[in-house]
Amino acid sequence: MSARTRDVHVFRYVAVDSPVHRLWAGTKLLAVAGAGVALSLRPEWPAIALVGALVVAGALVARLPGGVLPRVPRWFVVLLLLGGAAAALASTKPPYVTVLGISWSGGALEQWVRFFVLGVVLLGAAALVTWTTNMAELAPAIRALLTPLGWVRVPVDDMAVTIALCARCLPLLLDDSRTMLAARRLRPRPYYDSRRARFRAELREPVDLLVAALTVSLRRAHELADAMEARGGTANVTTGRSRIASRDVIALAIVAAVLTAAILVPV
Amino acid sequence: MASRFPRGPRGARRLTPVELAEAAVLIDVSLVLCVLGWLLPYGGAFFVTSAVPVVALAARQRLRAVVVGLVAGCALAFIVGGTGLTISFVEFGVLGAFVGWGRRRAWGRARTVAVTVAVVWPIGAAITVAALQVFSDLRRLTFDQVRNSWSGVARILRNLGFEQLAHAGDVVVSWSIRHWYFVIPAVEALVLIAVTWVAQTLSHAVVPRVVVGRPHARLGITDRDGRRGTSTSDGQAGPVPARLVDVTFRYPGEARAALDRVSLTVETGRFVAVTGPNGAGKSSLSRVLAGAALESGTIERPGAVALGRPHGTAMLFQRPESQVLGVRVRDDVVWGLRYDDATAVDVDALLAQVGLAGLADRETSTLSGGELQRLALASALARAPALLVSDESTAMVDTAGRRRLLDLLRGLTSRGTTVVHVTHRYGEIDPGDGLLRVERGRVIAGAAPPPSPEATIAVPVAGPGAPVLEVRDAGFVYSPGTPWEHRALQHVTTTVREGETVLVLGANGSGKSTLAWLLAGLLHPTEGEVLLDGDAATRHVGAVGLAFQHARLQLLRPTVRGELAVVAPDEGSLVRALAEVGLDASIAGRPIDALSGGQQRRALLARLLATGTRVLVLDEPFAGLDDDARVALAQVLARLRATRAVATVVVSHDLDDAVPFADRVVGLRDGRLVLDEPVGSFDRSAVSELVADVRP
Repeated sequence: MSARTRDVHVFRYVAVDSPVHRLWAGTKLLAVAGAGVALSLRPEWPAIALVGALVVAGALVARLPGGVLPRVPRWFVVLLLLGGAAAALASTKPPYVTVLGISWSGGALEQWVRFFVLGVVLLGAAALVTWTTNMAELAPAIRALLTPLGWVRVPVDDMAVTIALCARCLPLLLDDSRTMLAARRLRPRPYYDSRRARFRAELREPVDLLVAALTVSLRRAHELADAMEARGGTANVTTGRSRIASRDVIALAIVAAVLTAAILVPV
Repeated sequence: MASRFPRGPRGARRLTPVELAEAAVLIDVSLVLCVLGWLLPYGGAFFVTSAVPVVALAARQRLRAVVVGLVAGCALAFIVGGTGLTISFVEFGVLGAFVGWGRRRAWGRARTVAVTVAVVWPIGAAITVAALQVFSDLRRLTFDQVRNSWSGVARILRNLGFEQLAHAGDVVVSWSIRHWYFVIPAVEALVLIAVTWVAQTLSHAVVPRVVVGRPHARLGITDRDGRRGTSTSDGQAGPVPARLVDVTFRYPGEARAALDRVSLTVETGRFVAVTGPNGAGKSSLSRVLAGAALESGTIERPGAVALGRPHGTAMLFQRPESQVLGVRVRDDVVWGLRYDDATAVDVDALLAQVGLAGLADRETSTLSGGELQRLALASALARAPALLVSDESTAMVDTAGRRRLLDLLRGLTSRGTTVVHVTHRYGEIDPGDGLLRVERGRVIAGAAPPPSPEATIAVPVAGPGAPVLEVRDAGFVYSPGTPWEHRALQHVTTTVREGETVLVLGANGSGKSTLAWLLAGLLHPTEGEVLLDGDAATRHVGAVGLAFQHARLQLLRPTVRGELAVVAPDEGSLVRALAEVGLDASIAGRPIDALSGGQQRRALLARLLATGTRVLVLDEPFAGLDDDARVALAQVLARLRATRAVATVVVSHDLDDAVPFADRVVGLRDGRLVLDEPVGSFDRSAVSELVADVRP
């Protein structure tokens, strides 16, 4: 269990140099958002295939090693197969296929697979951003993308600073959560006289864990606040360093072309 | 409308550092819980818990902080887990915001649920219906999916003979799908009511128990333009020489003054050491020097404190990982500086000056404690400060790192920087330093420090007995097969015997913490084996008493008594358990968060010992303790060795702490065992080199 929880950093920056890594973070965010919209508009095979191909191409250009792919837990695979089988066995959607003497609904199976693949493609697109974008570049990029909101008095600067701080603190808090999960396993398991007492104790546990997590995190927050004040506050936190380069224009053009094709292509 | 909801002057103000930090950290906790909800098989319940940090945020801070935090969380959730994670984060975040808003106004449960549903439901339902209307293909696909799943169930029901039930279901499902624009919002309303109820109940149990120690005295108020608010902070920087006249300082809501009519002068260009016992007012003195508002008295300075501004005041704190703000080393050095000032800073030269040459593009989360403190120093130096206040910045750093940091601090005085260094280690003071001793809020200038306390070490009754823990050619690799693959240990073989105290030494990243996790059975060794009494340690999780450095994460019940209740149910055994670690029984009823760090560690030790464990593994038990707490803990461990046959493994990066009562020293470097010898027979300088905080 804990060996697996320690593997949570699957969605982490992969430090290699590639054209995708060098893209402005905002470009990649726009591309992922666009892919989401396109697939929601046309959740069909041609669109899924086009966007999927774009993600795979991106991963290849980014020179990502195959090891970045997360290992799927067995219970997930089992659930997936069961769900697909149930849908195919039960549905009356044509065409029918007869295997092992049972008639299966090919239409339902197709839908099940399509639904799943669509989710994988969208998750893959988001993962591609995480694998190729240093967290440090994220906040400035989002700040730039949010600029129009600043014109209508949305506190975009506060948002940018908070995103930067969130990105900074996430590794610390993941570490704490790992320690807490381990500590939970190490605690002595008391014996309960009744089922009721056991139930009460089981309800109490998440409360205790949350209290500890929040207390520790807020302490940390106040130390961070001290550190920010010691640097003269946040008013000057410069975020305007990201700039669109020509490679970003090219990348956006390619993405836009593929997404348009995905939306317009006839079934 | 505008007159009913006036836009107060507070409403338009930018977020203060405290608001920003609390928003960022609590939103992060919420995100982590959401991710756990996705990863763990029994995850559903985790999603509701992810609302609780947002409840705490909304109950503690302005609405602006909550909104900003939620937007930031969305951005991060989108990056980390795509649309799915973002949607679950937003759902529970918004819910938490409303529940927290209710807490703030002391609403009852019914009212909280009613208001939340009344506000959130119409918007949520409208968004869902609109989205399903626009993305009609996706809608059809989803509904087909629902229909397929149902017809499967119906077929099974029919085969079992429940024809009528199946038929009723057919009718309901097809009717629901036909009238989806009505049914979906109705279901959403029901789910919303249930989830809000659960979130409210849960946070009602959690939030009141979250106490974050004493209210922090803010160093200064940042106004809208980011300038400091107090009059002493405006204008030309000139923090030294500072002459304090009858300065009284009090933390908000506390009866006792932290500093009581203190008068002293901090001269330019000196190294001033501030010492004194815990809670005497050392930190208060450093905060006052950095511009915290006084209750009475005056501080005469030639100019402004100018905290964090060029040529003003810079400050270092105790905890290494909490004062680094940038994700990358390079960003952290100039964090908070004006753009012009930031571009003028020669980051690489500064890093070289503090011994971090070539690390500019590293991520800060990969640095060791000593490196982080030197990075904090670099960012202080980026401001060319006239006054540098170091509030126990050496407390959490190992011996070698401490010496290095102190040398750097002392060196600054030659360039005219005044350094005020707060420490509870008397050994850090040089004869030439200015010396201020703080005791119960009063300052005694130039007073000699008391002699360093020494632990009296009891002699063990018997020599080491039978082997308890055996590590046989063990190795461990994190994230094998991925680009983040990292080997922490290889070919480690050692044995821990009954009644023996083993000190595991190594620098940061040497694999010593991984070894502690392996010994406790929390990790499966990638190669080799770790045996507890001849059986795999992983099959006996909990048998080895493991104490993490951060004891608070292991002390979960509200009081010491509650924490020990499982292992010491009656008063007599409780008193005995506490006495074993040198704690007074009067501590039993106190809230965990009212204990000092040293007391927390000892309370945890009491619980571990009361289970009758035969092996203790302590991860950095001395880090961050002051001299008195250090000696008290050392004495407890030494007594344990003498009176009980408990095998103890102390994991440390500090040679000085555990050597007096250790039997054997095990040294790790880069995951390999490089030393395994009895105390007394090894070469001290070689060991110092082992833990030296220097990277190749």
